Amino acid sequence: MPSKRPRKRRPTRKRHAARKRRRGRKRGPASARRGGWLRRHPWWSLAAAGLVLFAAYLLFLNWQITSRFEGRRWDLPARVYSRPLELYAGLDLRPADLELELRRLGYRVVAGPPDRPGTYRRRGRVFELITREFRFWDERQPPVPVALSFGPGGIASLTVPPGRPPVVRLDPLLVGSIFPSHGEDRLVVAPAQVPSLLRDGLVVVEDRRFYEHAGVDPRSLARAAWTNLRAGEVAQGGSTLTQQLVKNYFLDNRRTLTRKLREALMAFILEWHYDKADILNAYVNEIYLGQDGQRAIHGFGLASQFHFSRPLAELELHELALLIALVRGPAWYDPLRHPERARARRDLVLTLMEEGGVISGAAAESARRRDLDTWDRAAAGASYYPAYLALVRRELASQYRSQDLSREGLRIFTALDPLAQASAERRLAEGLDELDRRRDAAPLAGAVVVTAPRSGDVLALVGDRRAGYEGFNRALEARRPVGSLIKPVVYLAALESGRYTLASRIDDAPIRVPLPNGTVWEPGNFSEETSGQVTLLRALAESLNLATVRLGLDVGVGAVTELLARLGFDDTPEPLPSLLLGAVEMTPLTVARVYGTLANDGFRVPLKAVRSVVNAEGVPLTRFPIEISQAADPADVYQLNQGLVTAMQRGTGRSAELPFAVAGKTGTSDDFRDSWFAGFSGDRLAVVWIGHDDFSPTGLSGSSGALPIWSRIMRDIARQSFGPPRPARLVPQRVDYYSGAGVGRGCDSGVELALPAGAEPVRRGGCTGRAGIAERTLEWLNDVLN
Amino acid sequence: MAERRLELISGLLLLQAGLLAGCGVLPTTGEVTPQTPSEDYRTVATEHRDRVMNPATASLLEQGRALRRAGRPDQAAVTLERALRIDPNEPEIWLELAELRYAAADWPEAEQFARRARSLAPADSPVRSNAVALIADALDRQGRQLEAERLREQGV
Repeated sequence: MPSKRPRKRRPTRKRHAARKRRRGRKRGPASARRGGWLRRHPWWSLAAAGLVLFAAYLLFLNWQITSRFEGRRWDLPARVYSRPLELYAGLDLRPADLELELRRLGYRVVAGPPDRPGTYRRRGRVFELITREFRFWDERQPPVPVALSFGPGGIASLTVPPGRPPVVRLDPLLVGSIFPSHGEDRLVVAPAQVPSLLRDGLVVVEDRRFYEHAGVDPRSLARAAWTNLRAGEVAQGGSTLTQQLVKNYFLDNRRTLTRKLREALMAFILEWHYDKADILNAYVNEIYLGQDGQRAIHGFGLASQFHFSRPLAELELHELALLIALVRGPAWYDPLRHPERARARRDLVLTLMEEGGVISGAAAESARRRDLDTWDRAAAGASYYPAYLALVRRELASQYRSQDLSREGLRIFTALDPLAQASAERRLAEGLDELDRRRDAAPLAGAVVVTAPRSGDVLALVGDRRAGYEGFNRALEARRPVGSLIKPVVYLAALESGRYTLASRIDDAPIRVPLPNGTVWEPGNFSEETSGQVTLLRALAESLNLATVRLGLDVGVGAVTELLARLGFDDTPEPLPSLLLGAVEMTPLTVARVYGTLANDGFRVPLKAVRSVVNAEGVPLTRFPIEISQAADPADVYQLNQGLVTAMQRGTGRSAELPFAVAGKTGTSDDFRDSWFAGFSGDRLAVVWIGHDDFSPTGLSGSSGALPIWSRIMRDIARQSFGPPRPARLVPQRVDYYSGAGVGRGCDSGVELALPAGAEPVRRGGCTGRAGIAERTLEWLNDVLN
Repeated sequence: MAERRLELISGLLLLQAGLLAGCGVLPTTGEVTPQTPSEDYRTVATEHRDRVMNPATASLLEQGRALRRAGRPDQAAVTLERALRIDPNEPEIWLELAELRYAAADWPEAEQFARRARSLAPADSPVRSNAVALIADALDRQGRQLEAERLREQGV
């Protein structure tokens, strides 16, 4: 019952309130009385003020920690997956490549028949495996037992349980994630996916009284001190799991008393709001467990992928123990850099687990005998593909905000082919090392793009010779003069005009081109020689500049730029004559797009890295379907491609010496500043660029620099000869390579060409036979000398 | 010497390819021949190929058709694209995708996919004539009757 009667002692809150109420009426005496009380009870008032401040601070901490705790549940970086490897009879794959894929996916080798998902057995050319369950963008594929055998041409037979289609997808490789700018990456695991051994192990090793204390545990502090004294090292920390979690939230490693106090208070608050299971689950997903460049590995889910390349639920005891060991110091116990240290700590964890009754002595003993078994990231190539991820981000930028990508737990399925990517990375690095050794100059830079032209899938992207480098992404950003790579466009424009066939002749002789600005352009041939009347076929195959300029001027530079746009070039270059020799800048990705239209018989297929995006619940959000549009007549492109195949057989690309038919073109810019090669087989297209970032000359032509790298990549990844169906309006004929005249089978310099039905090959010239004699002499010399 | 050997090997490979051109791609069991490289590209003496569809492709194509019949065009498209990535030179898949676009009243896309099917189909094959018919229908729907008529007359 509130009373207005003043009490003499003990200023209670009620009395204070009453005084306040009176204050309005009797201002003078009340304030005098209050001042008097403050004077009489200075410590009480100070304590009260302190309490109020402390309560406010607690409220602040409460807000800070709960918002962090709640917020973090949803802060999930988007996961980026490679293409899933489709297994079926007829797939042209090497056994070693399947094994590499399985190893990268963390499939475990077993001695007997595979008995659970994620295991395989290899006996020579026969594999048995059980795939992991995986939720693809279109369906959830249950674990499927598969037996397959290899023949000379790849997978010869594939056996799956009755009722299943004869094609099985392996789970895709997790190739990266789009994490926020603070660099924290994690793969959140649900409580059901956390092995109980991990939970129990964490508790006995890090915080024995986790289930009893209220956030802070003085007894465990004391015990830790005792244990550490006994072990002679910091084997146990005094912080509870809750305190460690709080510490991780704010990533503050200063060992100050105020920080410790703040941590303790926050730990109390967390325990007040949430139950133990919630806190342990947050801990499992939050704790910092390693560093990979700019990427910080958080949580056991990602650490399991990072160190063992397999899901947490599949880890064995010795592997779980290693992850628990990492908690104490991810860098100090890094299993790759300090394997002995890591092993000692792991064994200690196993002992603590044994002493804590989590595992039996026998289990601990057998786990201690196991190797670390971490996945050898270095041997398997880069595990993280920043260049490719940059393309993924670019494609998604128009549809997704960056915070959606870094927080919403999206799953992004891409076309990245880890085998092609590994080949492109390795071949570029090796090739550039080799070239650097031969030259005495600054190290070269390079880039590679690999696509599957029919579907438009970007399979591999290398933006720097150092795999995993996050800097300048030359594949996407280096705009460089393309040199002779432009020539196929000039020849296609000529074929489209209807006035030329590949057998037509053109003059390869000096030419002077007056330019609008009053100067005169006088291009020259690469060899500084001229060849006189040549066929279009030869001019293209041997990359003759003068013939090309004459041809381009005849059909018009405007026609060439118009065609270039149709083929996929997204810029509008000025129609200057120098464009005919490649004075136009493109990125390697753009070159891949333009050449893709040639590889697709004139159909333009937009290049794509992303196939689909699904949300955290697996609901499809965006699909990027295959698109196609006809950009040029297949018959004209067919004719042109015969020239590009000839270039690989007897022209500028002949040193590639691939055992299957390919079409391609070299490119060399002025003063050897850029060395290019672009070409395709029946199933793969690759573009290689080499140069210096500062545009200084490299001394390399397209065939001495980029071509050897290109051909090694194609040897690794291409499986189909280039051989499109011949359009009906073309008729095969035998013509002389040099004169273009129709010749018979006996002519050594004759080549088979499919030419438009109405266009009769020429006229004069006949069989020159020159090549025959020259080649025979060379062959004879070759045989004699070898 | 190694280079000479390589030339010899590639020559032999091409020869073998020539012998194999025109025969099927994949038997369902036993020894498997990978995608047959056509004979030396420039010769192109025989018709492109009489393809025997890969069982994986055939199964996915059938699955895609079933999904389309079941009124699930999006799922059908996803399944067909899966087949396409396995065998992108199979004209039937391109034609099936064209049919899907046509059913969705996307005439320009239907036309383009059908054109792609035609470009890959062997002459005088049913796929080719079906593709031509679909291109013509798609042209009609786009108000390009003259082109459609001409195409139907030419029939290729």
